[in-house]
Amino acid sequence: MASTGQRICLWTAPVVGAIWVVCFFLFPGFTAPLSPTLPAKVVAAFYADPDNLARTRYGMILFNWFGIGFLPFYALITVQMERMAHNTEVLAYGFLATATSAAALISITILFFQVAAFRPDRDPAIVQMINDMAWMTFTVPVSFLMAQAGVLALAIFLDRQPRPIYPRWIGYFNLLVAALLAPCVLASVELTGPFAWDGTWSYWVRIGVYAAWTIVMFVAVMRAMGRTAETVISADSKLALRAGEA
Amino acid sequence: MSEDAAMIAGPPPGGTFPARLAWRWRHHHQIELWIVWWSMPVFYVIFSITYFVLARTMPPPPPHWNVAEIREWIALRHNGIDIGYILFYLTIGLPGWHIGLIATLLKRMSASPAYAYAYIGTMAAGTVPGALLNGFGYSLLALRPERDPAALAFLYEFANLTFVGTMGVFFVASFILVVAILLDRNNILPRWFGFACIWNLTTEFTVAPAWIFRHGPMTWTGGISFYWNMVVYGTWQIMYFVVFYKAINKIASNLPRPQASAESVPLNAFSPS
Amino acid sequence: MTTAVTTANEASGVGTANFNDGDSPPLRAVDHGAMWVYIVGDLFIFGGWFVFYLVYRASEQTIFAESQAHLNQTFGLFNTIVLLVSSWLVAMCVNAARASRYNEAARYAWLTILCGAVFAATKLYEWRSRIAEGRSFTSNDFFMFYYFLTAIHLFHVLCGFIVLGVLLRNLQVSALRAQVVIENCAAYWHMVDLLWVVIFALVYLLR
Repeated sequence: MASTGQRICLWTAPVVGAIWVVCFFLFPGFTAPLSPTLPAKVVAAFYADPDNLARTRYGMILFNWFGIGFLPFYALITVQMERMAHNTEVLAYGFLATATSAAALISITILFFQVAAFRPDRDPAIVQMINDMAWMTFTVPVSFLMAQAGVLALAIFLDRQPRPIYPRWIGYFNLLVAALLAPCVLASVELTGPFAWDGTWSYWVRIGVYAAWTIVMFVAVMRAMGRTAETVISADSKLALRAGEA
Repeated sequence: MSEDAAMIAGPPPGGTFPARLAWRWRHHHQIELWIVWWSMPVFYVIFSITYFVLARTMPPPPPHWNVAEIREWIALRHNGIDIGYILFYLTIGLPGWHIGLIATLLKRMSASPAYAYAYIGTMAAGTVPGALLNGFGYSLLALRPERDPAALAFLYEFANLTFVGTMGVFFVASFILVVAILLDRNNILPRWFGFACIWNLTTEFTVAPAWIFRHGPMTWTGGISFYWNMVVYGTWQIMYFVVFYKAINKIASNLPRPQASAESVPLNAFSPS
Repeated sequence: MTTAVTTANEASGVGTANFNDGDSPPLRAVDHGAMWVYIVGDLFIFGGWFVFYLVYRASEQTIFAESQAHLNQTFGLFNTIVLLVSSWLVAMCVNAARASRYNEAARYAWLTILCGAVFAATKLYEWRSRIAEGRSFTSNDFFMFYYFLTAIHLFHVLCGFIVLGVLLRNLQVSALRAQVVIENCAAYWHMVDLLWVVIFALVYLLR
């Protein structure tokens, strides 16, 4: 039977997801991402604009509170991974580690945006630099997400038992997610085009992929939790089963 | 042939390398240990190619350069920085897998499992400032070469100081290894390696003056704070790989076949017959 | 898998710990070699720093000589004597432990710790005096080396307190005693003393 604690972890995901959607619409730079080609004065004017300033500040405060909000959900996935038919906890811990690193990056991104909006009369070249750092840290470090999805895919493929924790297609889905996220690293060198940090791929496709991934994993985790309610097995029968197998 | 016997026998002889790998994927009971283990050398090779061959940002340039010298140095390395760091950005997630592996080893020690979790927390958070910010600093320098001089100097220092000067993470991680290994009664890792981790700990102290000096042997590229530190760190890293390789071999050979989890048991297994 | 939290003394080999159904043998008495690997490595690392010191000294002889004159030689000598005495005390401790006179050994260990504390206090007082005179870490290369070497050494002394604490616990709790651990801890303290003697010679005395 899934415990109350686990269920809370599960339902933090949609709540945090809803809050992230609110943040998306609050920060003007999310609904209309800033082009890397903008000169420093325009970037500074963007942050200093009174229409943008309040939305940026409050949107980012909200995002700051909930930026790492998916970690309890990822911890729940870690716990489910520990139940897979592996000999060691390596893959589960690897998942947790990569999720933690990704969360650390989101925190830093948000901090840069907040600093950019803190002093509207700052030297525009400095505002542009802070804005650059914010977008770099937002777009480029997809590797942590890729490694996270990759280790989960690996774990699913190695979960060789009659009724695996997650269905096999989720493994392929995670590999697809990793592959789709990979081109975002090109935002470190491109100023224009689909791979720049405001481009179709590095921004819109990436957000879509992350949202799809979260939703799919949410359903998968919920199903995996629900299944434990069907088979109630006592500790004794588990031991008897193992002894019978030996 | 039972599955256990097949695994002990190993892959059929005479096969090609990919065929043997495919066999291992299908039959090796601890394949996840080995996939995760090998992700680390792969990462280090790519890391070395990025920093020493392509971008050539290691060894670092000196802190006392003026803006013109920095601009010139970046211009020479522009393409290398672009390509090299793209490779790096694609693979920086891999150390996270390795952290899981180390945590698994720590969990098997007789000291509290808290050490394993502390290690995950410390190193997972620490990979970020330790190398990634260096990449961002240089990528941003290459992205906008005509940047304002103050911003340029900031990014240059940011890139170098965060890389060389991220201390607390590795300090605490080394400390966790030292204590866990010295307290361990299960002989997972040799005791001398526990002491050797203290050397790595010491390098984090020696690098601290890099945050203060712009000239001399204790800058981010100085003889003491960088080069001698790299000798110590490099030696330790080699010992680390040898020691962990042996430990994982020992653990892998002691593990039984993976057990199915409770939910995978068909329901009728419990009906009285 | 045992989950008890153990101390370094328990890990020294008293009692058995089994991993995985008793496949691996019980832990034997702790390796002498482990501590000596550490000591040799540490001496090597310090050796590198001493080489850097000598090289920089050779290229800035006047500054080094002039700055060195501002160090308090008396304090330096006092610290050296304190540490040499402490080394002698810890050696007496090892001897007493060998003869199973554990209470006496414990007293010697306490005195060693006392000497270490006196050393640390003197060092801090010396630094404060120099800083009050305006000679800090960033004043010039000589003082950079002075503070760096003495600070890293002081860090080793502080770790030495932990090591001596392990030694004391080993002596006081009869179930944990192992001569090997006692000797390892003493060896560490001797290393700390040796490093100081070299620092004293190079930084305070060498002209």
